Amino acid sequence: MELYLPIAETTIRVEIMMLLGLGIGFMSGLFGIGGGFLMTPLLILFGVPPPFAIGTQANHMVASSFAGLLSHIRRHSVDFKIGLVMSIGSLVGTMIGIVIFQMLQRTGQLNIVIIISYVLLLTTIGSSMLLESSVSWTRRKKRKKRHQHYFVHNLPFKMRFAESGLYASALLPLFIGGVGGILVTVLGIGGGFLLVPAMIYIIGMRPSVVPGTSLLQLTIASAIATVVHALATQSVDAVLAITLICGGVFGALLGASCTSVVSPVWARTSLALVVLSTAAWLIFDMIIPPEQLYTIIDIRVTPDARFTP
Amino acid sequence: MSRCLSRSIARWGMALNLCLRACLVFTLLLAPQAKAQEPGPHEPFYLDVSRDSVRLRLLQLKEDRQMVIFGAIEAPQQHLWIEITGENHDVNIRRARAVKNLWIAYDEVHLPGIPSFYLRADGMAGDDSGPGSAAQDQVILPLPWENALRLQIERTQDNPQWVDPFVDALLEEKNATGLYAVHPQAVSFIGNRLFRYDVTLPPSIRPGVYTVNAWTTDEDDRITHFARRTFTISHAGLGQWLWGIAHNDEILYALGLVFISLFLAWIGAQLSHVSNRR
Repeated sequence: MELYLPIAETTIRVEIMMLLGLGIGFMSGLFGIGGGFLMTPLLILFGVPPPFAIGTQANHMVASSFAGLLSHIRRHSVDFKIGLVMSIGSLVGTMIGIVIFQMLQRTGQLNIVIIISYVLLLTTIGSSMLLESSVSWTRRKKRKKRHQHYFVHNLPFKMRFAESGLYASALLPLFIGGVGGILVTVLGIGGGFLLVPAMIYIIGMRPSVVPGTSLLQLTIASAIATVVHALATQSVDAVLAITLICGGVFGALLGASCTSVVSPVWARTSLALVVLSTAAWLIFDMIIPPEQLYTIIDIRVTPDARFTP
Repeated sequence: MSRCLSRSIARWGMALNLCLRACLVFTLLLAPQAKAQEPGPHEPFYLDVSRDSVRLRLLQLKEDRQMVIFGAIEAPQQHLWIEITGENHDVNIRRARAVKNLWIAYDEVHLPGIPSFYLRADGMAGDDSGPGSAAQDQVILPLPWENALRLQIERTQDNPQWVDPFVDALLEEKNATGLYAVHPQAVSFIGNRLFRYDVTLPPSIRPGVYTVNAWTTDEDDRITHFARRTFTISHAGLGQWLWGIAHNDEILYALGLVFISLFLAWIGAQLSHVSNRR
Protein backbone atom coordinates (compact mmCIF):
# COMPACT_ATOMS: atom_id res chain seq x y z
CA MET A 1 0.00 0.00 0.00
CA GLU A 2 1.28 3.42 -0.93
CA LEU A 3 1.54 6.08 1.72
CA TYR A 4 1.59 9.70 0.65
CA LEU A 5 3.82 11.93 2.74
CA PRO A 6 2.12 15.35 2.68
CA ILE A 7 5.15 17.32 3.88
CA ALA A 8 7.87 15.53 1.90
CA GLU A 9 5.38 15.40 -1.03
CA THR A 10 6.45 11.97 -2.10
CA THR A 11 5.01 8.49 -1.92
CA ILE A 12 6.50 5.54 -0.08
CA ARG A 13 5.44 1.95 0.56
CA VAL A 14 3.82 1.83 4.00
CA GLU A 15 4.81 -1.80 4.65
CA ILE A 16 8.48 -1.03 3.89
CA MET A 17 8.49 1.89 6.32
CA MET A 18 6.79 -0.17 9.03
CA LEU A 19 9.34 -2.95 8.52
CA LEU A 20 12.15 -0.42 8.60
CA GLY A 21 10.86 0.99 11.89
CA LEU A 22 10.40 -2.54 13.21
CA GLY A 23 13.91 -3.61 12.18
CA ILE A 24 15.65 -0.56 13.62
CA GLY A 25 13.46 -0.76 16.74
CA PHE A 26 14.42 -4.42 17.14
CA MET A 27 18.11 -3.50 16.96
CA SER A 28 17.49 -0.63 19.34
CA GLY A 29 15.87 -2.97 21.86
CA LEU A 30 18.48 -5.69 21.39
CA PHE A 31 21.66 -3.62 21.31
CA GLY A 32 20.57 -0.56 23.29
CA ILE A 33 21.29 1.92 20.50
CA GLY A 34 19.20 4.64 18.86
CA GLY A 35 19.75 3.29 15.37
CA GLY A 36 19.83 6.73 13.77
CA PHE A 37 23.07 5.88 11.94
CA LEU A 38 21.16 3.18 10.06
CA MET A 39 17.76 4.79 9.81
CA THR A 40 18.79 7.99 8.01
CA PRO A 41 20.73 6.32 5.14
CA LEU A 42 18.03 3.67 4.78
CA LEU A 43 15.30 6.31 4.53
CA ILE A 44 17.32 8.04 1.81
CA LEU A 45 17.80 4.67 0.08
CA PHE A 46 14.02 4.08 0.06
CA GLY A 47 13.35 7.39 -1.64
CA VAL A 48 12.83 9.88 1.18
CA PRO A 49 14.61 13.13 0.22
CA PRO A 50 17.70 13.64 2.47
CA PRO A 51 16.50 16.80 4.29
CA PHE A 52 13.21 15.06 5.20
CA ALA A 53 15.06 11.88 6.20
CA ILE A 54 17.19 13.87 8.66
CA GLY A 55 14.38 16.09 9.97
CA THR A 56 12.01 13.17 10.46
CA GLN A 57 14.68 10.96 11.99
CA ALA A 58 15.27 13.66 14.62
CA ASN A 59 11.60 13.37 15.58
CA HIS A 60 11.74 9.57 15.53
CA MET A 61 14.66 9.79 17.94
CA VAL A 62 12.53 11.74 20.45
CA ALA A 63 10.35 8.63 20.84
CA SER A 64 13.12 6.03 20.80
CA SER A 65 15.29 7.86 23.34
CA PHE A 66 12.36 8.79 25.61
CA ALA A 67 11.20 5.15 25.75
CA GLY A 68 14.70 4.18 26.91
CA LEU A 69 14.86 7.11 29.32
CA LEU A 70 11.65 6.03 31.07
CA SER A 71 13.09 2.61 31.88
CA HIS A 72 16.26 4.26 33.26
CA ILE A 73 14.16 6.64 35.37
CA ARG A 74 12.44 3.58 36.91
CA ARG A 75 15.87 2.23 37.83
CA HIS A 76 17.01 5.63 39.22
CA SER A 77 20.00 5.65 36.90
CA VAL A 78 19.73 9.18 35.49
CA ASP A 79 21.78 12.19 36.58
CA PHE A 80 19.24 14.95 35.85
CA LYS A 81 21.56 17.80 36.83
CA ILE A 82 24.34 16.89 34.42
CA GLY A 83 21.71 15.92 31.83
CA LEU A 84 20.17 19.38 32.00
CA VAL A 85 23.58 21.07 31.69
CA MET A 86 24.26 18.91 28.65
CA SER A 87 20.85 19.86 27.26
CA ILE A 88 21.75 23.55 27.46
CA GLY A 89 24.83 22.67 25.41
CA SER A 90 22.56 20.75 23.03
CA LEU A 91 20.42 23.84 22.54
CA VAL A 92 23.48 25.84 21.44
CA GLY A 93 24.72 22.86 19.36
CA THR A 94 21.36 22.58 17.63
CA MET A 95 21.45 26.25 16.66
CA ILE A 96 24.97 25.85 15.28
CA GLY A 97 23.88 22.60 13.60
CA ILE A 98 20.95 24.18 11.78
CA VAL A 99 23.22 26.92 10.38
CA ILE A 100 25.66 24.24 9.15
CA PHE A 101 22.75 22.17 7.78
CA GLN A 102 21.31 25.10 5.79
CA MET A 103 24.75 26.12 4.54
CA LEU A 104 25.49 22.61 3.30
CA GLN A 105 22.04 22.36 1.76
CA ARG A 106 22.61 25.61 -0.15
CA THR A 107 25.99 24.54 -1.49
CA GLY A 108 24.73 21.07 -2.40
CA GLN A 109 27.30 19.34 -0.23
CA LEU A 110 24.90 18.06 2.43
CA ASN A 111 24.88 14.48 1.16
CA ILE A 112 28.63 14.14 0.85
CA VAL A 113 29.26 15.68 4.27
CA ILE A 114 26.68 13.32 5.79
CA ILE A 115 28.22 10.31 4.08
CA ILE A 116 31.85 11.18 4.93
CA SER A 117 30.91 11.93 8.55
CA TYR A 118 29.01 8.67 8.78
CA VAL A 119 31.88 6.70 7.31
CA LEU A 120 34.39 8.23 9.74
CA LEU A 121 32.14 7.76 12.76
CA LEU A 122 30.94 4.29 11.89
CA THR A 123 34.38 2.96 10.97
CA THR A 124 35.90 4.27 14.19
CA ILE A 125 33.09 3.06 16.42
CA GLY A 126 32.58 -0.26 14.61
CA SER A 127 36.28 -1.10 14.73
CA SER A 128 36.60 -0.25 18.41
CA MET A 129 33.48 -2.28 19.24
CA LEU A 130 34.74 -5.24 17.24
CA LEU A 131 38.10 -4.98 18.96
CA GLU A 132 36.45 -4.84 22.37
CA SER A 133 34.23 -7.81 21.49
CA SER A 134 37.19 -9.87 20.29
CA VAL A 135 38.92 -9.15 23.60
CA SER A 136 35.78 -10.33 25.41
CA TRP A 137 35.68 -13.50 23.31
CA THR A 138 39.27 -14.30 24.19
CA ARG A 139 38.71 -13.23 27.82
CA ARG A 140 41.84 -11.12 27.90
CA LYS A 141 40.10 -7.89 28.81
CA LYS A 142 42.24 -5.49 30.74
CA ARG A 143 40.69 -3.29 33.38
CA LYS A 144 40.89 0.35 32.39
CA LYS A 145 41.20 3.20 34.79
CA ARG A 146 37.94 5.11 34.54
CA HIS A 147 38.78 8.47 35.94
CA GLN A 148 42.02 10.01 34.72
CA HIS A 149 42.93 13.67 35.14
CA TYR A 150 43.50 15.67 31.97
CA PHE A 151 43.81 19.42 31.43
CA VAL A 152 40.02 19.57 30.95
CA HIS A 153 39.53 18.91 34.64
CA ASN A 154 41.17 22.24 35.46
CA LEU A 155 38.51 24.22 33.60
CA PRO A 156 36.48 26.86 35.52
CA PHE A 157 32.74 26.89 36.49
CA LYS A 158 32.97 23.74 38.60
CA MET A 159 29.75 22.18 39.83
CA ARG A 160 28.87 19.25 42.03
CA PHE A 161 26.96 16.43 40.35
CA ALA A 162 25.89 14.18 43.21
CA GLU A 163 24.35 11.34 41.19
CA SER A 164 27.54 10.92 39.18
CA GLY A 165 29.79 11.48 42.17
CA LEU A 166 31.57 14.31 40.41
CA TYR A 167 32.92 17.76 41.08
CA ALA A 168 33.73 18.96 37.57
CA SER A 169 33.58 21.97 35.28
CA ALA A 170 30.14 22.60 33.78
CA LEU A 171 31.90 23.47 30.52
CA LEU A 172 32.59 19.76 29.85
CA PRO A 173 28.97 18.55 29.78
CA LEU A 174 28.05 21.79 27.97
CA PHE A 175 30.60 21.03 25.24
CA ILE A 176 29.64 17.35 24.94
CA GLY A 177 25.95 18.28 24.83
CA GLY A 178 26.78 20.82 22.12
CA VAL A 179 28.50 18.15 20.01
CA GLY A 180 25.43 15.94 20.49
CA GLY A 181 23.16 18.78 19.34
CA ILE A 182 25.21 19.32 16.18
CA LEU A 183 25.18 15.57 15.40
CA VAL A 184 21.41 15.34 15.80
CA THR A 185 20.73 18.37 13.63
CA VAL A 186 23.25 17.84 10.85
CA LEU A 187 23.42 14.04 10.65
CA GLY A 188 20.10 13.02 12.18
CA ILE A 189 21.82 10.66 14.60
CA GLY A 190 21.90 10.58 18.38
CA GLY A 191 25.61 9.98 18.53
CA GLY A 192 25.28 7.86 21.65
CA PHE A 193 28.25 5.79 20.52
CA LEU A 194 30.34 8.96 20.62
CA LEU A 195 28.84 10.67 23.66
CA VAL A 196 28.75 7.69 26.01
CA PRO A 197 32.56 7.08 25.92
CA ALA A 198 33.09 10.85 26.20
CA MET A 199 30.90 11.00 29.30
CA ILE A 200 32.80 8.14 30.91
CA TYR A 201 36.37 8.96 29.91
CA ILE A 202 36.34 12.77 29.59
CA ILE A 203 33.79 13.92 32.19
CA GLY A 204 34.46 10.87 34.37
CA MET A 205 30.82 9.99 35.11
CA ARG A 206 29.83 6.78 36.86
CA PRO A 207 29.08 4.23 34.06
CA SER A 208 25.78 3.16 35.64
CA VAL A 209 24.22 6.63 35.14
CA VAL A 210 25.76 7.30 31.73
CA PRO A 211 23.19 5.57 29.44
CA GLY A 212 20.22 7.14 31.23
CA THR A 213 21.80 10.60 31.30
CA SER A 214 22.81 10.26 27.64
CA LEU A 215 19.19 9.38 26.78
CA LEU A 216 17.92 12.41 28.73
CA GLN A 217 20.27 14.65 26.79
CA LEU A 218 19.29 12.91 23.53
CA THR A 219 15.55 13.26 24.20
CA ILE A 220 15.92 16.99 24.78
CA ALA A 221 18.40 17.48 21.92
CA SER A 222 16.23 15.60 19.41
CA ALA A 223 13.11 17.46 20.58
CA ILE A 224 14.93 20.76 20.02
CA ALA A 225 16.21 19.52 16.64
CA THR A 226 12.64 18.54 15.64
CA VAL A 227 11.35 22.01 16.52
CA VAL A 228 14.26 23.74 14.77
CA HIS A 229 13.90 21.60 11.61
CA ALA A 230 10.14 22.18 11.57
CA LEU A 231 10.62 25.94 11.93
CA ALA A 232 13.63 26.51 9.68
CA THR A 233 13.28 23.94 6.91
CA GLN A 234 9.77 22.41 7.29
CA SER A 235 11.45 19.06 6.80
CA VAL A 236 9.72 16.98 9.45
CA ASP A 237 7.07 14.71 8.00
CA ALA A 238 4.54 13.74 10.67
CA VAL A 239 3.12 10.79 8.74
CA LEU A 240 6.54 9.25 8.15
CA ALA A 241 7.61 9.90 11.75
CA ILE A 242 4.51 8.28 13.26
CA THR A 243 4.78 5.28 10.90
CA LEU A 244 8.39 4.75 11.93
CA ILE A 245 7.64 5.25 15.62
CA CYS A 246 4.76 2.73 15.56
CA GLY A 247 6.98 0.12 13.89
CA GLY A 248 9.85 1.08 16.16
CA VAL A 249 7.89 0.65 19.40
CA PHE A 250 6.95 -2.94 18.55
CA GLY A 251 10.43 -3.65 17.24
CA ALA A 252 12.00 -2.34 20.44
CA LEU A 253 9.69 -4.49 22.57
CA LEU A 254 10.60 -7.52 20.46
CA GLY A 255 14.31 -6.72 20.65
CA ALA A 256 14.20 -6.13 24.40
CA SER A 257 12.52 -9.49 24.93
CA CYS A 258 15.34 -11.16 22.97
CA THR A 259 18.08 -9.73 25.17
CA SER A 260 17.63 -12.54 27.69
CA VAL A 261 18.43 -15.21 25.10
CA VAL A 262 21.35 -13.39 23.44
CA SER A 263 24.70 -13.09 25.20
CA PRO A 264 26.00 -9.51 25.53
CA VAL A 265 29.27 -10.34 23.77
CA TRP A 266 27.44 -11.88 20.83
CA ALA A 267 25.12 -8.85 20.67
CA ARG A 268 28.08 -6.45 20.73
CA THR A 269 29.90 -8.39 18.01
CA SER A 270 26.76 -8.43 15.83
CA LEU A 271 26.28 -4.71 16.32
CA ALA A 272 29.93 -4.03 15.44
CA LEU A 273 29.48 -6.04 12.24
CA VAL A 274 26.27 -4.16 11.38
CA VAL A 275 28.02 -0.81 11.97
CA LEU A 276 31.05 -1.81 9.87
CA SER A 277 28.83 -3.20 7.08
CA THR A 278 26.96 0.11 6.98
CA ALA A 279 30.27 1.99 6.78
CA ALA A 280 31.51 -0.34 4.00
CA TRP A 281 28.28 0.15 2.07
CA LEU A 282 28.59 3.95 2.37
CA ILE A 283 32.25 3.87 1.28
CA PHE A 284 31.32 1.70 -1.70
CA ASP A 285 28.52 4.12 -2.55
CA MET A 286 30.91 7.07 -2.40
CA ILE A 287 33.73 5.59 -4.51
CA ILE A 288 31.76 3.80 -7.24
CA PRO A 289 30.51 6.20 -9.94
CA PRO A 290 26.84 6.91 -9.16
CA GLU A 291 24.12 5.66 -11.50
CA GLN A 292 22.64 9.14 -11.48
CA LEU A 293 25.31 11.79 -11.95
CA TYR A 294 22.73 14.53 -11.80
CA THR A 295 20.55 15.59 -8.88
CA ILE A 296 17.40 17.58 -9.60
CA ILE A 297 16.14 19.96 -6.92
CA ASP A 298 12.80 21.74 -7.35
CA ILE A 299 13.11 25.12 -5.70
CA ARG A 300 9.79 26.95 -5.77
CA VAL A 301 6.73 27.50 -7.90
CA THR A 302 7.15 30.29 -10.44
CA PRO A 303 3.90 30.54 -12.36
CA ASP A 304 4.98 33.73 -14.13
CA ALA A 305 8.10 32.29 -15.68
CA ARG A 306 6.43 29.68 -17.88
CA PHE A 307 8.15 28.34 -20.95
CA THR A 308 5.58 27.94 -23.65
CA PRO A 309 5.86 25.74 -26.71
CA MET B 1 -58.43 44.61 -68.59
CA SER B 2 -56.20 46.49 -66.21
CA ARG B 3 -58.17 45.02 -63.30
CA CYS B 4 -57.59 41.45 -64.62
CA LEU B 5 -53.89 42.16 -65.07
CA SER B 6 -53.53 43.48 -61.55
CA ARG B 7 -55.36 40.40 -60.14
CA SER B 8 -53.13 37.95 -62.02
CA ILE B 9 -49.99 39.84 -60.87
CA ALA B 10 -51.25 39.65 -57.29
CA ARG B 11 -51.86 35.89 -57.63
CA TRP B 12 -48.40 35.32 -59.12
CA GLY B 13 -46.92 37.43 -56.34
CA MET B 14 -48.61 35.36 -53.65
CA ALA B 15 -47.47 32.14 -55.34
CA LEU B 16 -43.88 33.43 -55.51
CA ASN B 17 -44.04 34.48 -51.87
CA LEU B 18 -45.23 31.00 -50.84
CA CYS B 19 -42.49 29.39 -52.91
CA LEU B 20 -39.82 31.55 -51.28
CA ARG B 21 -41.15 30.73 -47.79
CA ALA B 22 -41.22 27.00 -48.57
CA CYS B 23 -37.61 27.19 -49.81
CA LEU B 24 -36.55 28.96 -46.66
CA VAL B 25 -38.22 26.37 -44.40
CA PHE B 26 -36.68 23.55 -46.47
CA THR B 27 -33.24 25.12 -46.23
CA LEU B 28 -33.54 25.53 -42.48
CA LEU B 29 -34.64 21.93 -42.08
CA LEU B 30 -31.64 20.67 -44.01
CA ALA B 31 -29.12 23.00 -42.37
CA PRO B 32 -27.89 20.79 -39.43
CA GLN B 33 -27.26 17.88 -41.76
CA ALA B 34 -25.21 20.06 -44.08
CA LYS B 35 -23.21 21.39 -41.14
CA ALA B 36 -22.29 17.90 -39.95
CA GLN B 37 -21.17 16.83 -43.36
CA GLU B 38 -18.83 19.72 -44.02
CA PRO B 39 -17.10 21.03 -40.84
CA GLY B 40 -15.75 24.51 -40.80
CA PRO B 41 -12.76 25.82 -38.90
CA HIS B 42 -14.74 27.54 -36.12
CA GLU B 43 -17.16 24.80 -35.12
CA PRO B 44 -17.52 23.77 -31.47
CA PHE B 45 -15.13 21.30 -29.90
CA TYR B 46 -16.03 19.86 -26.55
CA LEU B 47 -13.44 18.99 -23.90
CA ASP B 48 -13.87 18.06 -20.25
CA VAL B 49 -12.18 16.22 -17.41
CA SER B 50 -13.84 13.58 -15.24
CA ARG B 51 -12.85 15.40 -12.05
CA ASP B 52 -12.04 19.02 -11.34
CA SER B 53 -9.80 18.12 -8.46
CA VAL B 54 -7.57 15.20 -7.65
CA ARG B 55 -7.19 14.72 -3.91
CA LEU B 56 -3.98 13.23 -2.63
CA ARG B 57 -4.91 11.10 0.36
CA LEU B 58 -2.45 9.67 2.84
CA LEU B 59 -3.33 6.10 1.98
CA GLN B 60 -3.29 6.27 -1.76
CA LEU B 61 -5.01 3.93 -4.12
CA LYS B 62 -4.19 3.93 -7.80
CA GLU B 63 -7.82 4.86 -8.49
CA ASP B 64 -7.34 8.12 -6.57
CA ARG B 65 -4.91 9.26 -9.23
CA GLN B 66 -6.94 8.11 -12.23
CA MET B 67 -8.96 10.45 -14.37
CA VAL B 68 -10.56 10.59 -17.78
CA ILE B 69 -10.20 13.39 -20.27
CA PHE B 70 -13.07 13.20 -22.70
CA GLY B 71 -15.02 15.17 -25.22
CA ALA B 72 -16.26 15.30 -28.74
CA ILE B 73 -14.89 16.54 -32.01
CA GLU B 74 -17.14 17.60 -34.81
CA ALA B 75 -15.32 16.18 -37.76
CA PRO B 76 -14.00 12.65 -38.19
CA GLN B 77 -10.58 11.93 -39.65
CA GLN B 78 -8.85 14.55 -37.56
CA HIS B 79 -5.79 14.18 -35.43
CA LEU B 80 -6.49 14.95 -31.77
CA TRP B 81 -3.79 16.05 -29.32
CA ILE B 82 -4.12 16.25 -25.54
CA GLU B 83 -1.52 17.90 -23.33
CA ILE B 84 -1.46 18.16 -19.53
CA THR B 85 0.99 20.56 -17.87
CA GLY B 86 1.71 21.28 -14.24
CA GLU B 87 2.82 24.49 -12.58
CA ASN B 88 6.30 25.77 -13.24
CA HIS B 89 9.18 25.39 -10.82
CA ASP B 90 12.67 26.73 -10.65
CA VAL B 91 15.06 23.83 -10.76
CA ASN B 92 18.64 23.43 -9.64
CA ILE B 93 20.53 20.61 -11.33
CA ARG B 94 23.74 19.40 -9.76
CA ARG B 95 26.28 17.14 -11.38
CA ALA B 96 28.56 14.85 -9.39
CA ARG B 97 32.21 14.67 -10.24
CA ALA B 98 35.00 12.48 -8.88
CA VAL B 99 37.26 14.62 -6.71
CA LYS B 100 40.10 12.58 -5.25
CA ASN B 101 38.10 9.40 -5.97
CA LEU B 102 35.04 10.69 -4.11
CA TRP B 103 31.90 11.50 -6.05
CA ILE B 104 30.59 14.85 -4.89
CA ALA B 105 28.10 17.43 -6.26
CA TYR B 106 30.42 19.75 -8.15
CA ASP B 107 28.70 21.67 -10.97
CA GLU B 108 25.33 23.36 -10.73
CA VAL B 109 22.89 24.90 -13.20
CA HIS B 110 19.78 26.90 -12.33
CA LEU B 111 16.85 26.62 -14.75
CA PRO B 112 13.77 28.80 -14.23
CA GLY B 113 10.19 27.97 -15.16
CA ILE B 114 10.35 24.23 -15.71
CA PRO B 115 6.96 22.46 -15.82
CA SER B 116 6.56 20.17 -12.83
CA PHE B 117 4.53 17.80 -15.00
CA TYR B 118 4.10 17.32 -18.73
CA LEU B 119 2.10 14.68 -20.53
CA ARG B 120 1.06 14.49 -24.16
CA ALA B 121 -1.19 11.95 -25.85
CA ASP B 122 -2.74 11.80 -29.27
CA GLY B 123 -5.13 9.78 -31.37
CA MET B 124 -6.67 9.77 -34.80
CA ALA B 125 -10.44 9.81 -35.16
CA GLY B 126 -11.54 6.88 -37.30
CA ASP B 127 -8.36 4.95 -36.56
CA ASP B 128 -9.41 1.47 -35.46
CA SER B 129 -6.02 0.43 -34.04
CA GLY B 130 -7.07 1.97 -30.69
CA PRO B 131 -4.89 2.85 -27.72
CA GLY B 132 -2.09 0.81 -26.31
CA SER B 133 0.16 0.51 -29.34
CA ALA B 134 3.74 -0.66 -28.94
CA ALA B 135 5.03 2.89 -28.91
CA GLN B 136 3.01 3.82 -25.83
CA ASP B 137 4.95 5.09 -22.82
CA GLN B 138 7.96 5.99 -24.93
CA VAL B 139 9.07 9.56 -24.66
CA ILE B 140 9.61 11.23 -27.96
CA LEU B 141 12.19 13.95 -27.62
CA PRO B 142 12.29 16.83 -27.96
CA LEU B 143 9.23 17.65 -25.91
CA PRO B 144 7.33 20.62 -27.34
CA TRP B 145 8.57 23.18 -24.83
CA GLU B 146 12.13 21.87 -24.93
CA ASN B 147 13.10 24.01 -27.90
CA ALA B 148 11.86 27.11 -26.10
CA LEU B 149 13.87 26.11 -23.07
CA ARG B 150 17.03 25.58 -25.09
CA LEU B 151 16.52 28.92 -26.87
CA GLN B 152 16.17 30.62 -23.50
CA ILE B 153 19.37 28.94 -22.31
CA GLU B 154 21.21 30.07 -25.42
CA ARG B 155 20.15 33.65 -24.72
CA THR B 156 20.96 33.65 -21.01
CA GLN B 157 23.90 31.31 -20.55
CA ASP B 158 27.48 32.07 -21.52
CA ASN B 159 28.15 28.50 -22.55
CA PRO B 160 24.88 26.87 -23.67
CA GLN B 161 26.58 23.64 -24.80
CA TRP B 162 27.78 23.14 -21.25
CA VAL B 163 24.16 23.32 -20.01
CA ASP B 164 22.79 20.80 -22.53
CA PRO B 165 23.67 17.65 -20.53
CA PHE B 166 21.92 19.15 -17.51
CA VAL B 167 18.72 19.64 -19.53
CA ASP B 168 19.01 16.07 -20.88
CA ALA B 169 19.41 14.80 -17.30
CA LEU B 170 16.35 16.77 -16.21
CA LEU B 171 14.25 15.23 -18.97
CA GLU B 172 15.51 11.72 -18.23
CA GLU B 173 14.86 12.07 -14.52
CA LYS B 174 11.37 13.46 -15.00
CA ASN B 175 10.63 10.72 -17.52
CA ALA B 176 11.86 8.01 -15.14
CA THR B 177 9.52 9.25 -12.39
CA GLY B 178 6.58 9.46 -14.79
CA LEU B 179 6.42 13.24 -14.55
CA TYR B 180 7.14 13.72 -18.25
CA ALA B 181 5.65 11.34 -20.79
CA VAL B 182 4.35 11.16 -24.32
CA HIS B 183 1.73 8.50 -25.08
CA PRO B 184 1.23 8.17 -28.81
CA GLN B 185 -2.11 6.78 -29.99
CA ALA B 186 -3.36 6.64 -26.40
CA VAL B 187 -6.59 8.57 -27.04
CA SER B 188 -9.45 6.22 -27.90
CA PHE B 189 -12.49 7.10 -29.98
CA ILE B 190 -16.05 5.90 -29.62
CA GLY B 191 -17.40 6.17 -33.11
CA ASN B 192 -15.84 9.01 -35.02
CA ARG B 193 -16.53 11.88 -32.69
CA LEU B 194 -16.47 10.96 -29.02
CA PHE B 195 -13.02 10.56 -27.51
CA ARG B 196 -11.61 9.61 -24.13
CA TYR B 197 -8.15 9.44 -22.66
CA ASP B 198 -7.63 7.49 -19.45
CA VAL B 199 -4.70 8.84 -17.48
CA THR B 200 -3.14 7.65 -14.24
CA LEU B 201 -1.14 10.40 -12.64
CA PRO B 202 2.24 9.33 -11.20
CA PRO B 203 2.62 8.84 -7.42
CA SER B 204 5.15 11.66 -7.19
CA ILE B 205 2.80 14.28 -8.66
CA ARG B 206 2.71 17.49 -6.67
CA PRO B 207 -0.23 19.67 -5.66
CA GLY B 208 -1.06 22.61 -7.90
CA VAL B 209 -3.20 23.80 -10.80
CA TYR B 210 -2.90 21.63 -13.90
CA THR B 211 -3.90 22.68 -17.41
CA VAL B 212 -5.36 20.38 -20.05
CA ASN B 213 -4.99 21.64 -23.61
CA ALA B 214 -6.57 19.74 -26.50
CA TRP B 215 -6.55 20.55 -30.16
CA THR B 216 -7.21 18.93 -33.48
CA THR B 217 -5.14 19.23 -36.60
CA ASP B 218 -6.05 18.60 -40.19
CA GLU B 219 -4.05 16.77 -42.86
CA ASP B 220 -1.78 19.79 -43.29
CA ASP B 221 -1.07 19.90 -39.53
CA ARG B 222 -3.01 23.11 -39.14
CA ILE B 223 -4.86 23.54 -35.86
CA THR B 224 -8.59 23.37 -36.50
CA HIS B 225 -9.97 23.41 -32.96
CA PHE B 226 -8.58 24.21 -29.55
CA ALA B 227 -9.98 23.89 -26.03
CA ARG B 228 -8.59 24.23 -22.52
CA ARG B 229 -9.63 23.00 -19.09
CA THR B 230 -7.95 23.14 -15.71
CA PHE B 231 -8.05 20.88 -12.69
CA THR B 232 -6.36 21.04 -9.33
CA ILE B 233 -4.35 18.52 -7.41
CA SER B 234 -4.44 19.10 -3.70
CA HIS B 235 -3.85 17.42 -0.40
CA ALA B 236 -6.94 15.89 1.13
CA GLY B 237 -8.18 15.17 4.61
CA LEU B 238 -5.53 14.68 7.23
CA GLY B 239 -2.71 15.34 4.75
CA GLN B 240 -4.18 18.74 3.87
CA TRP B 241 -4.57 19.62 7.53
CA LEU B 242 -1.01 18.52 8.31
CA TRP B 243 0.45 20.43 5.37
CA GLY B 244 -1.43 23.57 6.40
CA ILE B 245 -0.36 23.39 10.02
CA ALA B 246 3.26 22.50 9.12
CA HIS B 247 3.56 25.59 6.92
CA ASN B 248 1.37 28.06 8.80
CA ASP B 249 1.70 27.09 12.46
CA GLU B 250 5.18 25.60 12.55
CA ILE B 251 5.56 25.90 16.33
CA LEU B 252 2.26 24.15 16.99
CA TYR B 253 3.16 21.45 14.45
CA ALA B 254 6.60 20.84 15.93
CA LEU B 255 5.42 20.81 19.54
CA GLY B 256 2.49 18.56 18.61
CA LEU B 257 4.86 16.12 16.94
CA VAL B 258 7.18 16.08 19.93
CA PHE B 259 4.20 15.49 22.23
CA ILE B 260 2.86 12.62 20.07
CA SER B 261 6.33 11.05 19.94
CA LEU B 262 6.64 11.24 23.72
CA PHE B 263 3.16 9.79 24.15
CA LEU B 264 3.83 6.86 21.78
CA ALA B 265 7.15 6.21 23.52
CA TRP B 266 5.39 6.24 26.89
CA ILE B 267 2.87 3.67 25.61
CA GLY B 268 5.78 1.55 24.34
CA ALA B 269 7.58 1.83 27.67
CA GLN B 270 4.40 0.89 29.57
CA LEU B 271 3.89 -2.16 27.35
CA SER B 272 7.51 -3.12 27.85
CA HIS B 273 7.20 -2.69 31.61
CA VAL B 274 4.06 -4.85 31.75
CA SER B 275 5.61 -7.60 29.61
CA ASN B 276 8.77 -7.60 31.72
CA ARG B 277 6.78 -7.97 34.96
CA ARG B 278 4.98 -11.00 33.49
